[in-house]
Amino acid sequence: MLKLEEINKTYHTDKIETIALKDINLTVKKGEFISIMGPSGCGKSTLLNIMGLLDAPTEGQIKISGAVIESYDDKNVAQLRNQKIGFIFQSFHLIQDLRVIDNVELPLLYRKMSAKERRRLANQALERVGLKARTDHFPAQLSGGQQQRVAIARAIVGKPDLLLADEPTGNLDSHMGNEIMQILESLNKDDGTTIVMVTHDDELAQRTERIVRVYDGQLIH
Amino acid sequence: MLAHIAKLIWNRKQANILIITEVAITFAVIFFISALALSNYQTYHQPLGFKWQDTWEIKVNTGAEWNNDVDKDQFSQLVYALKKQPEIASVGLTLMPVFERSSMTSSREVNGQEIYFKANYVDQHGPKSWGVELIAGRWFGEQDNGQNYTEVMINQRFAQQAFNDSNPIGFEFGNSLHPERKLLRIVGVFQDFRQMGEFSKSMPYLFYRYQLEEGNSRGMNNINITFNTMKNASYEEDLLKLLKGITPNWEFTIRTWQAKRQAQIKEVLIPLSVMAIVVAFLLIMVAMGLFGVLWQNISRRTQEIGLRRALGASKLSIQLQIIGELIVLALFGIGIVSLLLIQLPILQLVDELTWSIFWLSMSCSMVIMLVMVVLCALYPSRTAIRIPPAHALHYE
Amino acid sequence: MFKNYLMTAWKVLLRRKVFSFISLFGISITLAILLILTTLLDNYLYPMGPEKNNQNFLSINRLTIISKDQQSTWSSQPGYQFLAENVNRLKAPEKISFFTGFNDGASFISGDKIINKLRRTDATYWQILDFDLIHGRTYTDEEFDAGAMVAVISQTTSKEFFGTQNSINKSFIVNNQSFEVIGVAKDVSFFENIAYSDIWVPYTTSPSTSYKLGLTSGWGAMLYHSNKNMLPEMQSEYINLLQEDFISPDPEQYHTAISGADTPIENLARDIIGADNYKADSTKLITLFMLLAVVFMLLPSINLINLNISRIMERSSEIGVRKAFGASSKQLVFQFIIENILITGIGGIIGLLISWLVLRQVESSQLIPAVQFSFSINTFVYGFSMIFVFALISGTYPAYKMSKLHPVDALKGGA
Repeated sequence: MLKLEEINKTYHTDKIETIALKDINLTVKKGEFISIMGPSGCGKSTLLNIMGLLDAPTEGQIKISGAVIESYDDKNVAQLRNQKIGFIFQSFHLIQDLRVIDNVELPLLYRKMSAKERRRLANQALERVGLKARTDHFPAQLSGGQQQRVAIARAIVGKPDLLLADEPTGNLDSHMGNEIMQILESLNKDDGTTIVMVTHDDELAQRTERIVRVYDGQLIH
Repeated sequence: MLAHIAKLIWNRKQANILIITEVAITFAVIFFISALALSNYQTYHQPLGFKWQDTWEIKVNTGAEWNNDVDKDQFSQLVYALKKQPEIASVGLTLMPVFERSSMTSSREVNGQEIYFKANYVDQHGPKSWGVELIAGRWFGEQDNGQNYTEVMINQRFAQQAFNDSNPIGFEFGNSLHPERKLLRIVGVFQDFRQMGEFSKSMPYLFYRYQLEEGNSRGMNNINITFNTMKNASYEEDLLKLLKGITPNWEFTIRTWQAKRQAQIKEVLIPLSVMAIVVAFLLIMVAMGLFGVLWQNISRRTQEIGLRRALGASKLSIQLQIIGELIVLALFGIGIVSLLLIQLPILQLVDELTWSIFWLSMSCSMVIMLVMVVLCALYPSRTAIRIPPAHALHYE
Repeated sequence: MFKNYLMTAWKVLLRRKVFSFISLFGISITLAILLILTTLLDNYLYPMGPEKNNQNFLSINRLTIISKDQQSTWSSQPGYQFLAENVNRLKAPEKISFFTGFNDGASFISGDKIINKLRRTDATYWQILDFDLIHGRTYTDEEFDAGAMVAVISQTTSKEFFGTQNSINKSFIVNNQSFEVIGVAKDVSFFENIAYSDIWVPYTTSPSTSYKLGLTSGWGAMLYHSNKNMLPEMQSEYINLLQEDFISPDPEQYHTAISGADTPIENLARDIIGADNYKADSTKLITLFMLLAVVFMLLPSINLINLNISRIMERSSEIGVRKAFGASSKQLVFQFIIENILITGIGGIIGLLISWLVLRQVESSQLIPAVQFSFSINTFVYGFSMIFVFALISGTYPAYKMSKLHPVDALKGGA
């Protein structure tokens, strides 16, 4: 499904060079639910960004469904992200000026699709996360848990192969966090969605199939 | 504190460069409009040199170029007829009309100085009856008839430029291009005669004398009359009939100096006020723009502000910092433009822009600009201090 | 897709009321001012009144004469003598008309003085210009030749002299001469400076014939041809005549004559840039206008760019999300420019309304005599091209900045 080979990532500022990731090799199989753990600043978010093609590695290569990402040309990666990958963020990142339904539709906007079809898929996704009744609300009118569910609906509406979640429960209390986790588990089991989740929470990590630990930019097996 | 603010601004230079540009252009615009208004105000309040109340102008249109042989006699007939009217107190002549933009400009070498001046032909009675003030020497008079000089009078500015402190009366000068002509002799100095009106700059000015009996090749076309008692339009009708009776082939336009003056003031004030309105709108627009940008920046900087509060900065110091930042930014912009603007008086690129007007409009625009900036920063800075530190740190 | 961008833009506009208001205020004021200026220009260049056929004639209204020793220069309107002895010899024009400028004409009605503008013309004047007559007729060649004391007066002047009654065949006195009204014309705008006046009479009624001896000042001429393609030929014939065969009453004093037969825009160029050329430099004038418009738009543009940039920073999270979910930079730039075009478009419409109101106000205040502004198709074309340019100037740089925003940084909340 997703294969990272010999990934290195260094950041350059004016004078200082920071090594964020070093010699990462990681394979995610189809249908897996993996969690990535590690202390703050260890590079796990960078790893997730590279997996999500939001950031280009300094060295190494990424294979998605067997195909090597050769070009980080804007148009190319934009299309890949749109078709293959769904994102969930710690701080939800819903667009405050858009209604729930419009937020969910967003990834479909960048595909060729009729408005009717978009609406149908968005409604379907919202139903999947149990927010069918909130389609016309604005994000600010929802609780944190509800907002994250909208974000999940947005991430799955395009039927991506891979779901990347960056501390999806980090801004929520344990009750709401549990709710979100249940949805993710169900997506994995019932729909066969591959999920990679960055988390701090040991308990949540234990519920996934495999835990990858990152320390100082390196994987610990 | 100031160094700290400067550092902040420098680190955000990319975002700030546009704000600085905006302030700079705005400042330049305010400077130009205030310099324009100030210089107009200043010239307006300089002494005009004559009284405009209660004088009528009769403009004579002979229909063709002045033919001195024929026209001077017709013209004197008009003047004599007017003088005979019991209602008319005085009759004075000018070639160049008052409160109009036309003027006669010449230059001569006088007392070793090249003087540029405006000139006019007047008769010996005119200036006295319009309230022109004699400073030195005497008015034109019959004693000047048939002399071997051409009698002229100059204004104080002329005297100052050419003679500084020495006495100009009796000084004679000629025209180097036409040495065959009679020399000009200064017989008197008057305070001023700003013929083109209150919004014209005071310039060296010179009166030639027009004599009814001799006329001159340039002709004469304005008869200015004052009255014993104020007259109305029906008198004007009688006057026209009288004039037409003497010279039926000439045309006459009668207007009061007061009306001409008002029309001229309107001519200056209307474009100036249109400009002021446009600039006012520009200022409002820029002010709202700055306000918007600042407000936006504050909401982005909640974390920084929260941190400062947590580190013990008082509300006041936060507020001062935000206002201070914008003021320093504004001063940057003002400074850059000022360096450019100061070239104007240094190189004397614009005559009207004297040092006093420069400094006045400079400080004027500075005050307007800074007040505007502080007003723009006031509300956003209040918003900033209303954020509780804990909340600000939790943001994100 | 496009519709969707537009919807999003509209929603953003409504949700950010303060920002929308600030942007709209700046845009609409700027465009209103520019629109007022272009409408003035447009009304001058494409008048709706008697000069509406100004594509078919040229006007001569400036003359510079230089003496042989180059010591003296006279610059003013042409005089009758110059026109009669020089312009009259032109072969290319189908019709040539001479007329005076408008002067004050004083009349007295029951002890009150009334000033009207008085212009003296020939009869050809009426054949070239397309006056809107309400009553009566204009004077004929025969009346002109005979020096008949007849006059065409404007509607307002008719009302001044005779109230609401029909003024045809009635008499009035102006500058001590009595005229019979033979025609009443619709008021003429001050902008049509060849046609403008309140009273028109044959110039053969002048109180004396001394006008025939004036080389400069007071007069103007029109050269007419029914085929507008003939205008350049008329221009070159006139210039040629002045250069090769200028008839002067005194070749020592009045040696060289410089003048041009101008189209309206050249006329304006001659007034603003300078009169001492055979050919008026209209390209320079247009460049000057363009430059002024750009300079004037600079401040509002920078203001808007500033606002737009800070809004992009505010919306960086949105941009990050859109990028994460597959929007390409191009699509985002496109979206942002659409948003900007929408807001400038709305601002433009408000600006159009404001300028309409201001111009109506100017009309009713009589600040410019008898002026009637019309919004032509031209005004709209100017208006919308200005809006477009404005949107482009103020939208492109911020959009470019936005597209350069890295998605990871954007999601973190700003660069």
